[in-house]
Amino acid sequence: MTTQEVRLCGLLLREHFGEVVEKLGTHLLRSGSQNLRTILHETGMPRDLVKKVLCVLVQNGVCVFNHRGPGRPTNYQANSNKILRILRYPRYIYTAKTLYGDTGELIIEELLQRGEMTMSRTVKTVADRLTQNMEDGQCMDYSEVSSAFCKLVETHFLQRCPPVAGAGKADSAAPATPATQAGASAPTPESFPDCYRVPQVTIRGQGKRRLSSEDVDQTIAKKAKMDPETHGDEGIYWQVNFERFHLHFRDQAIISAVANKLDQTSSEIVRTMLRMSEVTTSPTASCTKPLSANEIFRSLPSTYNIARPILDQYLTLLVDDPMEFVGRAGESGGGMFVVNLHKVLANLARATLESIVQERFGSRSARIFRLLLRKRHLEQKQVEDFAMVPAKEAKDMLYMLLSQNLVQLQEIPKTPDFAPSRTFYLYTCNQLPTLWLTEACLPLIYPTNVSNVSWDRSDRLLFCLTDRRLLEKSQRIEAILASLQASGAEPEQLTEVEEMITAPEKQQLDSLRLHINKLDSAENQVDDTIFILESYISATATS
Amino acid sequence: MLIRLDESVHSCIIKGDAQLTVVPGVPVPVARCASSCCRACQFLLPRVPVPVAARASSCCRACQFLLPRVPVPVAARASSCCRACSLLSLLYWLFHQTTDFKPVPLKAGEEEDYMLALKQELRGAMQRLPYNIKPLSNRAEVEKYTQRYIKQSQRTNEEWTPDWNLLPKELMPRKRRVGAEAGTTKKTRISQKVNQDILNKLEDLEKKDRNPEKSDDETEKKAENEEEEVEEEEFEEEDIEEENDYIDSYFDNGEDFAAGSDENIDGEATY
Repeated sequence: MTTQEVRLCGLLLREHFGEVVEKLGTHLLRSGSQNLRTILHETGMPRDLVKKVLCVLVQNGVCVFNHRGPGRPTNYQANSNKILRILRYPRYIYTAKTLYGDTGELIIEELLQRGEMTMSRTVKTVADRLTQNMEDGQCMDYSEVSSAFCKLVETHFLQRCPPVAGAGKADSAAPATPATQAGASAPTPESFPDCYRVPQVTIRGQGKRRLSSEDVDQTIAKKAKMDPETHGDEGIYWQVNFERFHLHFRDQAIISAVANKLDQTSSEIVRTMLRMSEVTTSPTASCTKPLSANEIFRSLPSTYNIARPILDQYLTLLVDDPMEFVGRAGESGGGMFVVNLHKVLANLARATLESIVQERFGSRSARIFRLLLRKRHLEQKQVEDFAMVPAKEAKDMLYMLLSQNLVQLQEIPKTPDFAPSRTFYLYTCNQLPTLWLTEACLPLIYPTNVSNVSWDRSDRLLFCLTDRRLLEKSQRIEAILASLQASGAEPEQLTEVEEMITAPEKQQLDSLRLHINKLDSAENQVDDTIFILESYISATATS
Repeated sequence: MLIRLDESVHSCIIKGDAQLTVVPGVPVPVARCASSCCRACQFLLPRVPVPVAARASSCCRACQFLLPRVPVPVAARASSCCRACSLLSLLYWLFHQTTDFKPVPLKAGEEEDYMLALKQELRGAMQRLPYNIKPLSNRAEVEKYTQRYIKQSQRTNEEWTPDWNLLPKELMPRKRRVGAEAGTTKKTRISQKVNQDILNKLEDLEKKDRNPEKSDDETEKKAENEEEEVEEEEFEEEDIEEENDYIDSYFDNGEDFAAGSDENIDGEATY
């Protein structure tokens, strides 16, 4: 865990859960696993507040606790990966939208916002929200939403939260065995058999429209009365299955890579292959299960209009391509084909790094980088010769790459005294090591988050004090406008309030908004890159 | 802190246990030399061994002004290289972005716009959820006029009650009503006891001709003393201030009163 990672996590926590949570979260990240007493002691925060924050962290899956049996304190540990996933939330939601429409989008959004929820509650909130956006007289049926929910579960995009050992009152009855204790440290949802089983839920009715503001208090009172009704799924909580989403992203990345490298038709063929093997291939497999050309031909959607000989041609093309998207696994059944998942990821990661080097250090550095990737070990003199770059420049670039950790240096002494004159200095790129991700890519995303801080804190860099004051002012004016409109004020009054922001101020605000939008969308797009590198690393870790 | 390095001698800074020590004139093998990319702050983060040739040019642009020996090429200054002082270099990056390599324009399109909207909406929504814990506002200043409107617009109309089956038991907040309940029981108990006392007193009055006031006082104070003990037991562990003002003030009063009665009892005991 690097300092930068901790800082980024802290910023994300502050943005989404507030400063108090940030303080405790970063403390947990820095100090690892701790029990409540130590946390209280070291942070010096009030007891009740710490408890509340821990509840929030656990609820959102940011923090895990392991109960080590009676008499021993429960330990809490923060998970930085979970926090960093917040950066990818828009992508999960967008994917759900493309796959399952608005309903799916809202289901995923609600679950991401709240960490975990019961099915009945999710369905209710989503239906209410959908009804809210519909025209008058129309409303969303609960059954429709719950069927969308079931579909998401069937395709494993949602899963049940694993049962928690040592939580609440339940644990006193069941003594923890050593086996469960071992499992408790890292509970994997997959190991739990009912993971994708939808419980019998009885929800009938339709989404309700939220009433106007003065009625809110009444509805709260009503809700409190209505709450006791049960739907048969109390205690069964659902969460978003990030791994499944990542598999989907990976498949999409492969498909779009094929489309960019070859053409649309071949990408459709690869898409079909991936879809066919979706169920049969394990998530960590290095390639899909072999599929015969006949099978592929039968499974191709008829709308593509690909004839059998053309399919064969495309398949040979894919196999012969240097990117090795598709491999030939055998000759039976008109040829058996697999999608080389890991190889494609490796190639994608390599291409990404090459283009990062090219954009940040210029095409000549990229040439050197590619050279090192291909030749593995080279002396400085050799680099100069092979890359056909003047010696002085080559030296500059090499040191530059070295200082960025994109290139490593290996010293091989001829004598044990490491005297520079009797030592070989070999530059190398080991096969894309893990270090790269954190070292090379986190700093890329880093600046964008700094700006988000300054949104909150005026003493930071990008936006000076006046901007902060302006922002507050515009917020205030918007709030006043909203409340005036609600109370039915006259238009002159409204324009009067609007004019409180002068033209130059407005201009400044607009440019500020533009900057923020740019930074946010840059964050989204950097995350795509990080995803590819991350999935490559996890692929190499398993293989 | 900065330690001048002697260029002629191949010296190096070695990280000691307690503090940094300079070993002048003692050649250190390159592998052990704590040389990262930055000369000035190399002792902070010794990681990648750099060959002597590379060490000649100070490459950390954040702290290069600390140790300006070899002019650094503009290209090298562009990127953050020193991990030790990454923050400084970040500042540098922000204010002195090089014009050598322009960033690639962002992708723009419907998808990107939608994701952007989602991101911002999500951030806003998360801030309105009960999970977003606001820092305790300790400034009870004059309420601003606009505060009312902002509160109205951002009001969260939901309370979050976690499912305690999923969370460790120790995280449950202590019940606050205990105190209040104890208070009510106390009162009833008092009245019962007082009643009994009165009866006793009446009897006493009938039997012996004694001063009624004293016995009344004693018994009442005994009762109070007991209650105070009960309170103390319940709130022994609560060393943290209560959020609820009402309860706070309530207990303050109780303690004050109890303390007063304590003194009284003491006085009586001696007497």
